[in-house]
Amino acid sequence: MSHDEPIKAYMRSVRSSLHLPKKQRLRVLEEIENHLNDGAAAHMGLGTPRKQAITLAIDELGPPDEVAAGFIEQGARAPDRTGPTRWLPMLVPLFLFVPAVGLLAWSLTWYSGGLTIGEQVVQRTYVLRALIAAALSCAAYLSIRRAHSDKA
Amino acid sequence: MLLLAALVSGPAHGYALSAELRRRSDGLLAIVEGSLYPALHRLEAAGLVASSTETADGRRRRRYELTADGKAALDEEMRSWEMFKRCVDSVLEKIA
Repeated sequence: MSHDEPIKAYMRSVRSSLHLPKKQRLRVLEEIENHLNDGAAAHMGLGTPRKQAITLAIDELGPPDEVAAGFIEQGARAPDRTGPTRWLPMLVPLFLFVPAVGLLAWSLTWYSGGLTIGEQVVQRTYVLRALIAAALSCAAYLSIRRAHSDKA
Repeated sequence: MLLLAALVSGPAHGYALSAELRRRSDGLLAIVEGSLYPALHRLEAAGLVASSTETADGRRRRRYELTADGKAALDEEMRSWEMFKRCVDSVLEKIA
């Protein structure tokens, strides 16, 4: 068994308990492994044999399941909103906005022949729908931007 | 507050931060190292620290640094701590 095997075993154990999005998981694993290597190097710098230094570094970090649990709690409190998926809530207002604008544009072609009272009412409804959908889209966009900047 | 204070002297990676806290407290304050990174990630999510990666000796390392908001939060925390300390000292002096 190589001297580094305890670190590899520790990392396997953390990895199996760490249920986080891939990007976040890779970051956490990299930090933990670096921490263990730094800790072992620090103990070796004080004259501790390598094998014992690794054991000390692992003991100082704590049990792997507890370490992983700390990150999972953190992940639950602050979900990853940095990816493209954060824009998903925009789909609903956009689904309203695009047809509303399409209908409004189509209704504007009626001008060429003049508008009856009924057509004017319908057109006003299309304008109102387009305005509401635009307002919803703007509100959703600003909310997502604000949530993202709060996190960053 | 202690993590923010440990970053005042400059950017540092996680292990260096825990070592700095131990050093400044003469070993009395040994942060539970497993809780160090979740705490750093929370501070980063709150915008009080920022992190970046660097490669040294073939290893990619993440280092943390205090942001302007983090410095302001630390100043505020230190003011609160000073006030709390004065209150406790005042009560203890009256008892003694």
